[in-house]
Amino acid sequence: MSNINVIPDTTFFICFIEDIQDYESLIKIFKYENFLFVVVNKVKDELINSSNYKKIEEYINEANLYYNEFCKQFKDEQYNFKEILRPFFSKKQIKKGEDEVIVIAFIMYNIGKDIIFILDDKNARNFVENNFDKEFCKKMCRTTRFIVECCCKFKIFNKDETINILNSIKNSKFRIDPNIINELKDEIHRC
Amino acid sequence: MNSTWKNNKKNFDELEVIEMYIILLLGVVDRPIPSFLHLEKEMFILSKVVHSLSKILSFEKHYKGPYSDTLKELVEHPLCHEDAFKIIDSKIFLSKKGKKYYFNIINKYLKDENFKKVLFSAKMIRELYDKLSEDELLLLIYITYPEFTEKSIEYERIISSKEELAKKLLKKGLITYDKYEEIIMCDYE
Repeated sequence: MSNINVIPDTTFFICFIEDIQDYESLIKIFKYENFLFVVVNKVKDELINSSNYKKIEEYINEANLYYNEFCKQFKDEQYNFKEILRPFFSKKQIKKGEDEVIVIAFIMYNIGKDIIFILDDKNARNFVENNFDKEFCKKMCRTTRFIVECCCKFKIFNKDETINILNSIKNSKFRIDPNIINELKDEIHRC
Repeated sequence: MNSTWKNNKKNFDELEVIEMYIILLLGVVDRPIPSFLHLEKEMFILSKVVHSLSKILSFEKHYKGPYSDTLKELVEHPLCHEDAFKIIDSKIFLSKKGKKYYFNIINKYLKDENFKKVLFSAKMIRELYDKLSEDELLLLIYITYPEFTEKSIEYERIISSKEELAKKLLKKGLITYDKYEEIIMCDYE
């Protein structure tokens, strides 16, 4: 399997680091050999400022080794990609980096990279679905869907582990309809 | 045309580069840009993305937001890419010759990762900003870059209809609901 560039939003990290405090599962995802994590600047800033960041800092730094070359461009002063969507997104969304995730995903996708971008915010997701073609939209998923894929498609977690993660999410302050969690659990049993 | 342009080789090279960016912006999507206002504001956004472009293409505060007379001149009278552009009913697109220039540029630079980032940034800009009406475009530019409201003759009119414009943008799916609320609630002076 060729490398997949995973471009997560802040919610993905906050889910594991703060909402369910499951660092082990997050590290397992990081360490999956076919994933290259592309962490946009704003998401990284939010991550560093989260209260439990220290606990996985070591692993995040190790994951730097897996950062796609493209990510290093964000340290390059040549480009300021997030200006593209700045007029369309609110200050709150820009602070969370959702616009940046979409722009980077779009560019990487068009360059021909295999990507998954994780967006949980409904408004941001609607924006993508309203404005870009279906094939690009198929590369977008929510944190919970990504976790299911980590089980059923990528075999990072077994079924029991995945059900446990989803149960933790259901019982946490992560905002999701419990019915969706139940549907996802059914899907895991069937996969 | 300003004769100092011909005498200054450095400026001439810069103008060639600006023309290339215009060609890329027009060519990356196979349909005309709706108006010169769109071309101007899209190039403005592109210059915000690509720092090297902002060094050679500057925009000043003017009647309808960020303005560049260099851009207008080059679209009407390209210096280095003769007959590259066509303007019909205010829509701007690449002529047959312009398309050849476009494909030459693509073939020359497409192996360069940085070039691809610029190209697909231009594509994203086209996909979104082309969908805006001129008033919607001006609203988003004015509220995002308020420094360009100075000298504007349109700003008051645009801001006074911000609710109506924001509703249309929301209905088109071009702004998020959060952005819509932000526009409605904010007191723009």
